[in-house]
This record gives sequence, structure tokens and C-alpha cells, in this order.
Amino acid sequence: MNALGLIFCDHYSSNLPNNELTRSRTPASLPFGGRFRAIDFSLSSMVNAGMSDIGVICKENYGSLIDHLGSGEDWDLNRRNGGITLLTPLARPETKIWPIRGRLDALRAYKQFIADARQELVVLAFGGTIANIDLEAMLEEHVKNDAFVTLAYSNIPAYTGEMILHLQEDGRIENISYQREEEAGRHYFALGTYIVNRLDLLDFLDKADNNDYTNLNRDFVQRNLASCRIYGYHHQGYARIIRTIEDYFASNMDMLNPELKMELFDAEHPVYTKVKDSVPTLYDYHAIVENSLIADGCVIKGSVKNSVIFRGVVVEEGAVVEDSILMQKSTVGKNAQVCRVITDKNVVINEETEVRGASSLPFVIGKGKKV
Amino acid sequence: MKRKEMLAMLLAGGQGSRLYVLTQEMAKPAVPFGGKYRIIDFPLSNCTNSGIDTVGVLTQYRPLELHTYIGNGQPWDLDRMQGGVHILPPYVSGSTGEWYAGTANAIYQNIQFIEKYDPEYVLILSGDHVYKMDYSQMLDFHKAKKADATIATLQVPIEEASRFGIINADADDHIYEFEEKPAHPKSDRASMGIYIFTWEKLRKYLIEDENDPQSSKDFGKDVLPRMLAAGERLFAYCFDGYWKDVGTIESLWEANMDLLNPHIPLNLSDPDWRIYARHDHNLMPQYIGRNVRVGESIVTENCTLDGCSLWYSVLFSGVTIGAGSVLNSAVVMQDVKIGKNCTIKYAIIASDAVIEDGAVIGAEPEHYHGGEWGIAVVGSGAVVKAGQVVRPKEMIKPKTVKEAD
Repeated sequence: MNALGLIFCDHYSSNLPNNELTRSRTPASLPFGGRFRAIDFSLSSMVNAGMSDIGVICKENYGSLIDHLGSGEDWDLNRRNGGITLLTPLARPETKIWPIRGRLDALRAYKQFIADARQELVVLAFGGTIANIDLEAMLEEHVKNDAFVTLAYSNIPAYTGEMILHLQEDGRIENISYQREEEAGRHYFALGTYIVNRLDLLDFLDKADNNDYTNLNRDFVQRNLASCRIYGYHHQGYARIIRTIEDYFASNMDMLNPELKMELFDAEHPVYTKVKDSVPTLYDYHAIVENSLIADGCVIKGSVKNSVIFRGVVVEEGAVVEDSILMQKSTVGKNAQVCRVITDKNVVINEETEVRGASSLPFVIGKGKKV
Repeated sequence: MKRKEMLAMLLAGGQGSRLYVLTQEMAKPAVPFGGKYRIIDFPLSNCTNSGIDTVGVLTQYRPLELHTYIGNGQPWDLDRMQGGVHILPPYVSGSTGEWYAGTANAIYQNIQFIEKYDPEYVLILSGDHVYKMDYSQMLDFHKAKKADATIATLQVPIEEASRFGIINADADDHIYEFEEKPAHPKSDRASMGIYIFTWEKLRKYLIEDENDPQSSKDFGKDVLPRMLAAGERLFAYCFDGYWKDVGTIESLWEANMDLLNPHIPLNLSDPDWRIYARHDHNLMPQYIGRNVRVGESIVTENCTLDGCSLWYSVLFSGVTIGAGSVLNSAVVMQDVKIGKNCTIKYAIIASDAVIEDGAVIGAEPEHYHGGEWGIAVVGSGAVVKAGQVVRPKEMIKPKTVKEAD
């Protein structure tokens, strides 16, 4: 299907914009599942739907994102025409740097990019959504419903203040509400993926300029709800939006569950990521490993249980790692004990050290720190 | 075309007949190695790491797998605007077709390709060795010696020297004699089959050799002795490091086992000398389930291990092993499915094979008394039915089924 992709890499969905994990990176570049980054899911969904013209909107903190995406060749997006376009903050002589106060504001900032595209439809996605959405099916539904906008949703719990969809039987969105603190349980929760006709979007962006609209959900979706055909698309498979450390921990641990893993990494819709040329992982004579995902390039000499281990991690002799996430190139020294911990990249846990997180909140060790 | 100082010509057309079932469907350089590599990754990565950006790959035997694997050369950074990797199969000339008749003839037939780049030097490589080597140092040596040809040599134990092409050189490394597999070797310097030639000279001798009806058109047997006899400057470059010809089932298995031995200097994780490979996408990290014992082994992405025990083994990507199975000193290639309660020892299982529950493949040499011992091999896509036994040294052909007689 002929669609232009735009991926938001902002912090708007995050309740903890300044936590240890996202202080130096966007939610879209959060490492996930041992070898992926969050943006791999939205990028791969688009590529699997035959899209080859994708703009990645990065507002701040996008160093690691640019490094990850490179020329786009790992997603087959190093194309002569289109491919990946990084939409970095732009300055114009008359406005200085565009401040980007919301996702709609971002679309206003890059209106020219949207206007220059030739595709009929636009897919907007949040780079921090962990879901393998079948965009081909969603695009088909959008066209079939003759919709103005289609929003992907999943039946997952929403946090306070987050948008909840109320649907008619035919999938049309009747109403939108925001999660109140006392309401618990699962809701039709929007995943930050929208399909819209490109010319309709451009028209609306002019209107948004005139009224200084900045918020995609409130100004674009909600304002048009009564007058336009706005539909929901039910994404059936695994879906999470990482908003908190607990979310991050839980969704990584979900990948130890074979069924959830299969849902997300469905063979028909491959998830692509940056190739690192790591060597296979070496297990020493004394290695003890149980119920863990382990990426390539690791050296495991100690014990690893119920954990997700990224590329290039070293677990030395006698070390015990349990219920933890160790990101790329972390090292756990001899006889160290690590339980309910998230180590960011290049963390060193010294020999004989014990690090333990609370049962409610895992302990996060920031990038490159030594403990 | 911009001039290249040196380009590499990689001889990848060999069948590798001593790898039997493993090369029944692919050329030797395409044979998988070490969990995620193919043999050809070594010379190709060495080229890139040595600053050589133009490589001709000469293919002939069963080239499909190799051609697909090399593709546009992107994994080795050899997708270049100027140069890059070029696949050079034999071609039809005039009304007759012509296969490559020998290593020298293969290069002779591609003189036109080489001249397009107008190089000063040409590096000749083969696709059957596992090693890490900086060819730029060899080129420096070649230049310093003002050599016409330089042959890379490796010191081998003198008692094994009679298995190799032996180079006799003086203290200055100036070669004065070649001996092909001599019964009584005079030196322990074996040729590694890696040559640098000054192109002008090589071109002359390739044409001379081609016009000699007596010649077998081989570098080692014909071209180099001809150059030596004519008084050209031939030098022996001394290489010090791991190098293994993986031309037999035993040596291929051994080279895989060498990766597990920390005392053997074949470090594939050196960030300054990476070995690149073409990767499959959509691979999850490996999943190690419950009650698994895994030691002294290397395991690659997308493997799923559950309730099994794995010792001294090399697993390629996508291998699954069921509960109760025991592997010892096994090399298991991509996407092999191993059922429950299987025993696999001293064996190579080629890609996509299926080993059903309770099958027994290979045995430890010290525990086998049923005849001549050797590595057991299951060819790619073969099925070993439940409870069947594949004896040591037995080979199951690709895509066949081993079942009860």
C-alpha cells in the first residue's frame, strides 16, 4: 500500500521523561528484548507493509537513535528515493528553532515533508510502542471504512490521564475519554498509530496553523470526532507502551513467555534491527542458565536466571544474576549478586558486590556507571 | 576507473570433495562455520580489514548458495561505488564455453577484469581457510623486498611438513626452491596458498603459462616454478597466527572446536579485526529454558534449549533442542531441530536437518569399538527418524531419510 510513514520519537507518552533510561535517549531508542530497540517495531511494521518512505521525527536526545538507524540499510530503507529521512529540529530565519510543543505541532513543523510526498495515505506512529502491528490490514480497513482517521488500539490497561476509545459496533469511535485515577481494568487504549489521508492531514495542518493547535489527540482526533469518520483498528497481538520503569521491566520479562514472544515476533512479520556482527555467545564450564533470553556476543561464566541479557554482556565466575535486565556490554564481576536490577549500557558491577532492587520497583543503574 | 593499488582475486570455485555431503549442494567457501559464519567470511573480512576494497570472487562449482550469500557485498562493506565485490563465473567466449581449467587459468580468463582497475599488485586468495591476516603487512613486505611474487608461509611441525607445499628460502626470505609434499622436507615453511604478485609480471607469466600445452594451469605447480626458473624475485612472507585448512570433515570439525578452546589464538570478538557475515533478520536472542546444562559451548541467536545438556558444542542460529537430549562435541548448523532424548556426540549436523526423538548420532572415540571411528555427519535437510542410530564416520546424504531398514 502506498503510504508515507512518520514516526514520533518524543517523550509525550512517558510518565517519567527523566528516568535513568530515557535521560540520554528517546523512548524510541530504548533497548528491548535482548537485541532490539523500541523503534524497530514501528519501522518493521511499516517496512512489512511495503512502505519505503519514512520520516523519523526526533526532537531531542536523538544521538543514540541516529546511531541505531544509520543509513537505514538494516530495514532495507537505504533507498535511492525515500528511505529513512531524519526530521531533526529545524530553524527558520523568522522563527529560530521550532519549539515542537506536541505531536501536531511537530507535523506542522514538517508540513513541507508531508506536502512533498506523493503517497495517498500517511501512517503516524509512536516509536516507543512495542507492538508488531499489521499495517497492511490496518490500511485496508482504513480504506474500506472510508475513514478520515483510523487509530490502532489494544485492550490493555491505561494509566491516569491517558486516552481511552469508546467504539460503536462497526469500529467507529463514538467518544473519547481520559482515564481517571479510580477507574481500573482494561480499556481500548490507543497505541499511538494513526492512518490519515495525506491531503486531509495537510488541510488540517493549515487549520492548525491558524488556530495554533499542537495536540494530536485533542485537536486533531477529538475536534473532528463528531464531524468526521474516525475509526479504531483492533490490534490483537502483544502491545505495550513503555511509560515507566515498571512497564519497561515487565514488557522485557514478557519475552520470557513463549506465547507472548511468538505474538510479538511473528514469523510472517519479521522485526528488523541493526546488525552488530557479534560473535556467538560463549558458555563456560561453570555456567548455569535458566529461563533467560541471551543475545549474541556474551560470555557467561556464572549463573543467570529469569533475565534478559543484551549483546556483549559478561557474567563472571560465581556471579548470580536473577530477575534482571542487563543491557549491552554490561559486566558482572566475580561472585557479584544482582537481583531485580536494570543495568543500562556499559555498566560495571564489581566483584563481590550485591545489588538488589525492590520487589515493586527494579533498581536502575545508569549508562556506564560502576557499582 | 580510478586506479587501485592492489585488488584481490578470491578462488572460490573449488568443490571441496573431501567435505563429502557438506559440499554436495554448495561450494566449499559457502560451508557454514563457527555458529554464524561461512568459510568465505574470513578472506572477505580480511580484505576489508586490510583496506582492500576491490575483490573478484571466482566461482564455478555449485555457485548458487555462494552467489546468494555474497550478494552485493554489503555485509563486508564491499558494496562500493568504485570497486567492491565482483562475482566472476566462467563465461562463454565466442562459440565455445570454457570452464576454469586451473587456478592460474581462472585468473588468466579474468585479465580483462583486473586491467579495468589497472592495479600495481594482485593478491590471490582461496576460500578454504580459516584465519585472520593483515594483507597490507604482506604487501609492505612485498614492496620492501622489491619482489615479483610473495608467498605467505606458515611454520608447520616438521613431521607434518610432507603434507604441504614446502617453500625453501634463504635467511633473507628469498625463495630458491619449491617442493610439493616432499617425502623428506628440507624446511618447515608451508605455503598458505596466499600470493601477492606484481601485476605486470603475473600478467606476463599467466599468458606464457596459458600458451604452454604441458601446463596444468596451477599457481603452485606451474606459474610460480616458471617464475622461479626464469630468475624472478620470489619471497616467502612469514605469517604467525592461527590458520587452518578446513578441507576435510575432521579439520572442519576441529576448527569449530578450536573456537571453544581459550588457548587457541582464534579470537573472533576482536573489535579491531571483526569477521563479518551476512545475517538473518528477525532473530530473537537465544532462549535457555529450564533444567539446561550448557558449558564450554557457543550458542547463536534464535536457539531454543530446553531440558537438555550441551557440552563442547557449536550451535548455529535457530537450533532447537528438546528435553533429555545430550550433545557433546557437536557442530549443529542453522535451524536444525533436535527432538527429545537424543544423543549427539562428535558429529556435524548440517542445516535444516531434523533429528527425531531418541536418535543416537556419533560416539566418543574412546567408547566406540564398532569399527573405524570418525565424525558422524548428517547432511542438510536430512531426517533421522526416531530411535535411529548414525554410527561414527557414517554420513547421511542431504534431504534423505534415515529410518529402520
